[in-house]
Amino acid sequence: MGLQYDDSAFYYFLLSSFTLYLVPSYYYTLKALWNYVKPKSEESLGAVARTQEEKKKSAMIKQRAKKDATIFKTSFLVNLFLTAVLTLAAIYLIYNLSQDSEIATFDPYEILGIDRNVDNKGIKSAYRRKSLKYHPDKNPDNPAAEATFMLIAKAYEALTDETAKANWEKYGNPDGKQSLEVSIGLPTFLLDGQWKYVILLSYLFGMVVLVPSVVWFYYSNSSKYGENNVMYKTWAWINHAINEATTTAGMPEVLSGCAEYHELLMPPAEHMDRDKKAMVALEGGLRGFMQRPKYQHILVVKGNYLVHAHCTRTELPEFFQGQLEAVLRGSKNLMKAFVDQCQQRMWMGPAMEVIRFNQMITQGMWLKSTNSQLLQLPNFTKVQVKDAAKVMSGSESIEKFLSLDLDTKTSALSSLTPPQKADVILACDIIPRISVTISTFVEDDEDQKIYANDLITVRVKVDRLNLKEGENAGLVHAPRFPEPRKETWWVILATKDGKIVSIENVAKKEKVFNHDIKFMAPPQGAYDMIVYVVSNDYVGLDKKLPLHFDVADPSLLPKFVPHKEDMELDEEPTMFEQMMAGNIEEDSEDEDSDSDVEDVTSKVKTVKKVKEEDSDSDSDDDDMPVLKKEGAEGKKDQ
Amino acid sequence: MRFLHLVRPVMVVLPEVAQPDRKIPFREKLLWTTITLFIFLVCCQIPLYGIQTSKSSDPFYWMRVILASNRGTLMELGISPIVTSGLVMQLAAGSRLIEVNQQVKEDRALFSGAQKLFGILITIGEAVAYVVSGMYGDLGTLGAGNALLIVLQLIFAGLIVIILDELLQKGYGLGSGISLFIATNICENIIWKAFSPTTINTGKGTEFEGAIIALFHLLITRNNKWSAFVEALYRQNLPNITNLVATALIFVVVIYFQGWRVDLPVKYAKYRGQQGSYPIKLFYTSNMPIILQTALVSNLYFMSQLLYNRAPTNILVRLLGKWQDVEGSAGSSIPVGGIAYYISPPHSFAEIIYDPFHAVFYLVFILTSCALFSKTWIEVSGSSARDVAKQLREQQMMMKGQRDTALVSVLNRYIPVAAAFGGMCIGALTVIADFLGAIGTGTGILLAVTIIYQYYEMFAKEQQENGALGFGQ
Repeated sequence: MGLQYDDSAFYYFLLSSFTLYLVPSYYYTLKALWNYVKPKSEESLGAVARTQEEKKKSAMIKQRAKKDATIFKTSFLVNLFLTAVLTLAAIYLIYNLSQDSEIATFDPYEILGIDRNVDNKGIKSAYRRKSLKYHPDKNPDNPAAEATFMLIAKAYEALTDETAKANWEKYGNPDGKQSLEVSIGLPTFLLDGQWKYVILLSYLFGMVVLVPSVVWFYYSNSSKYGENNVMYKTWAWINHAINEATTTAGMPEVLSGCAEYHELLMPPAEHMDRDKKAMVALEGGLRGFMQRPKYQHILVVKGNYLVHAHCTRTELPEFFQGQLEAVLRGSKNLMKAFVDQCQQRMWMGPAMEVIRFNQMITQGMWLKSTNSQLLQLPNFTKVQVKDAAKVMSGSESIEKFLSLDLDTKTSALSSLTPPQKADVILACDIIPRISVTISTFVEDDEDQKIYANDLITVRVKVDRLNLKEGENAGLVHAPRFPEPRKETWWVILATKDGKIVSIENVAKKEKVFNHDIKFMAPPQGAYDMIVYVVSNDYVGLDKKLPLHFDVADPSLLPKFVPHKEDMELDEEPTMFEQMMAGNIEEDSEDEDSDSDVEDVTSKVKTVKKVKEEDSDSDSDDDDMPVLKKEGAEGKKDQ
Repeated sequence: MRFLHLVRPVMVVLPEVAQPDRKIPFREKLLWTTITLFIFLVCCQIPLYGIQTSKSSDPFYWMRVILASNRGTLMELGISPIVTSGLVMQLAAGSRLIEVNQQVKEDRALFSGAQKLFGILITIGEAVAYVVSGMYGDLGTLGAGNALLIVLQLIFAGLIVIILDELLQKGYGLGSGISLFIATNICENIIWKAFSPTTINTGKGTEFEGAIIALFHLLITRNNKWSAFVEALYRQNLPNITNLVATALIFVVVIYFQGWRVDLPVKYAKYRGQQGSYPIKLFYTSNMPIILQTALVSNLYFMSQLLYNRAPTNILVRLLGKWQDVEGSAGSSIPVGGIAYYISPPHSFAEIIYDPFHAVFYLVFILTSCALFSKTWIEVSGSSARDVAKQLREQQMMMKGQRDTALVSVLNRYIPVAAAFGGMCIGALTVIADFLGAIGTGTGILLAVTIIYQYYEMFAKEQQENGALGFGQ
């Protein structure tokens, strides 16, 4: 392009680039510092402690938030360093530039050192004074003075000579209109002969080595992850480990074997012995609660022990606690994958086992003798469970306990101190009891009966009995689970012989909410299915309702008859047919050609296009509105 | 033998992107889209080797935005081969010149293969045409070797564009390559006008071309900070801050209007219980009216310029348009008389006051032509009320709650209005954008916003389904 490279312009460009980086960087840095100093509200962290037991969890969450604060991350520190360096550079540049900034405009008044409203006499005397000062004879061998002398002469001319004055006012230069000179604000050393190899090599390096390696690095990391952010290896493991015979007891091993935990659970060489000894110590206490392990790999064995220890509320040595926490935190995502697998194979039984497992690790409960539902209440141990069972005539159902009136409840808590009693009562308000009603219909404005080929809607209405009108559900009461959890429910529709028709996780907060299950009607006949509403986080609150519906013969429906006007549309010929017809007529009968052409242009033309789907044509030409189908296409909440 | 079967033997030789064997996670799609973008941007800057001159007047100056092409670089052809081949194939299929059943998998594959083949042929054709027409210098001075080299470069670059587009569309990326390239070209223009380090020295002193760089420069060098600020906002000869603000404003306005639509509830007679809706957007024909209008005007300009260069004194030619070179911008000229002048936008506020008739005529011309093109386009492209009614009828769909009204009359209540009014809105937005001095033409911004909005919707949908962008845990 032949542009000149301009060094001083480059400094301005550099300065502005720095500033553009610095402004958001300062904002980001200050915000991170502010967030560290002034801690986030409890609610936004999910660390609200409603009962005493939750206080420990709340403190832990707050501490973790502080530890994970942005200001400790490497990226933040690097950014901080960069910001500091650039700020210094920017200040240096500003200082330099304002020192020797070129005279952007040619201002004769400034050159002569006079005010704007000085008269001609004043201009003349100022000119004389200045030119005497900078005369080349008075300043030999001083090129700067010579340049200034010429500028002074020009300034005087601009103020006195008529043409020069006119030129200056119009074009900013007394010599008349100057031609445009285009240059670019980039450093001149880029064009310098001796640097050219360095520059070319650095371009080569950047384009051919740096960019592809960054891409390759990022890609090789992200290609490990498949759907739902779960690693492919894990999906393969799930495929192998979860089958029709899966039970809750076998789930800890399944969870431990997930590829996300490989690095975490694998003990480094120096800790191998310590870990093995600890596991042997744990085995004694846990043996009664574990089923025989299926897998012998140390990762699975270790994870197995950790999860069992958590569920049986056994104390773990300190070096295991962090690992257990990480396993539990990762379980939220992996549970979805487990249920996904069951859904794909339509296995109802295993799905329930998986969800039950999820409930148990949330509350820190297990099977066999540690599975009393009442252990979910704060401060409850075997003693309190026995007391409560007495009041409820032997039953240990948590739902029954929750539905007792206040006095009866309090009488069962005699072994607790008053603050502990208060905690239990509080928890009873948090733990949700629900009542479920279902209705079955077809969404249609004319006929709501079910025929074959229809899309059936099963509306599941859930009412949280523990909330008052207008209240919303809060976080799950799970003091043993290291992360805040939202209260969610699984709404499942299954056939009587254990095949899943629909399974969805509903996260609505309102006291009363609806969830619509949509599925295609089976052929004509009478059907009995079951609707389950299962909690994701609490044990013993699940509901199961029978569903019966009849599917009628679709031939009973009135036939589809399009409106008369819609049928008449066929009688309009397409544009091409008209043109073809017009052409043929034109060749044979020249006199009629004019009227045919007029016919073609005056009638409304239509082009027949039967397109049922968006084919792969470009977007700016293909603007045919596409029919949006909500319903059987995707399982969406309404 | 069907036409499509003729394509089958060539399919073996056509370069093709393999179908992905798994569902590509969103992050990865983002990665591939970014890489495609990067490659495109780099190619846009690599000049063609062997060309003599790119200083001659650029006949396609007005179309550059839509074609996403850069003069004198590898991306000279831009996306014109893909767009043309797509358009032609669509027309051919729609008018039944080619028999293709979109439901059959093999047919679909053959159809897209034919489209690709056609695209490659057009690439070759356009490349040869550009070189032979002397756009890169006289054939004699170029020499056979150089000419061949240029053609090969163009063909290769065109092939890359076709393959990149296919990569994105086969599921590895987001959206389509065409919209990505168009939006990129426009955004590139905007970024350049805002940050360019190029300087111009008119004798008054150095001035930066980039608006933001100029702001810094003026604030530092001028003594009177306030006047420096004002100049950065309002200077006329180069991009200024008000241009940037105007661009942002137009973006916001277009995004707002994108969401205006009427949802007609429809249902299937055969598959009861499914909720469907047929949306009729305000921008029913999207950008087509302004594209068609730009195409018309640019063709007119092209013809007029050509004629004026050959016969500047002819009365009819002068009636069509008188042209004058613009100083500083080598190779482009502006119309100063004749019809071409009246359908060109006035360049500044001063011009409007000086010649108000021109401004009014221009405004009326744009609005009516857009509305007309919009209404004609719905007939031609098969999205008029009748065509939609026929389609719905063939799929046995009905309007909910309107058993007694014909589909066609319900649609007629909305579609023609949407088409005409939407077309006018597009035209008005373009005029306002040009008037406020928004960077890039009004057409360009509209296109860019539409495309960016689609990407945003994809992002939002992904966030909703998978939590926060799926990055890490």
